[in-house]
Amino acid sequence: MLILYNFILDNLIKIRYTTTCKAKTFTGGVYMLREDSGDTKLDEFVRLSVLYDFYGELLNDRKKQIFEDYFLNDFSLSEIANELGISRQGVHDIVKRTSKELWDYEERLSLVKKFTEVKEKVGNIKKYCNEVKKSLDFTKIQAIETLADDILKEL
Amino acid sequence: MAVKIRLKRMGQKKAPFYRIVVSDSRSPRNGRFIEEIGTYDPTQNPSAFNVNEEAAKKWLSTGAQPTDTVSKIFKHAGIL
Repeated sequence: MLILYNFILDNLIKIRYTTTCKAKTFTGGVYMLREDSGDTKLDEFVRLSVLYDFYGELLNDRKKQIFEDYFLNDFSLSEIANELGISRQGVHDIVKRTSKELWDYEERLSLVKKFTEVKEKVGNIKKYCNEVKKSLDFTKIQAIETLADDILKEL
Repeated sequence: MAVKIRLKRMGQKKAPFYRIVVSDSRSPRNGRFIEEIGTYDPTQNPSAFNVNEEAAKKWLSTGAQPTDTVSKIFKHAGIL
């Protein structure tokens, strides 16, 4: 009981931290996630894991395994190397090559870019709808229509 | 026994969300970990870091090794 109480107390002490944001475009003009942690390495880490969500199935099993360990489970190069019985350099090469492969797919297919754009527009449509519901100001309908047309064009 | 502090990717496809977990360096990737000490949500604007500072300090002082990415998050959160 006491442990449970302490646990709840601990969680209450959790403090929320946010960093300043600034918009930014990236290699290949891919504007993937709206946020920017202010730390390009951390952003790159998140970005590659999103690329993997989209194109991961195109990789072979070995690349998939190493990529998942490195980017989804946050294992270090040497940990992966030890486990697979290959050199650290070898793992590094595969991680680099796989990342490049994923960026290549994105450059040719831009699925992530399209996904982000559509998601943003649908979010805006929802926002406008709520505004219309509240204010009964129907001039916003025009903006919603334009957004819907944009999305249809992109599909 | 080396203890590590790592990120663990959660969330659905295309919507990344991470937990910061303390785990044994030898424990496999199947998800067993000792304690969850925070979260990192990059989909929000700006990204949201949520770190249990007390637990993080406790683990760091007992010699748990944060990975590169986790130490970056700790830096943002002002712990390191």
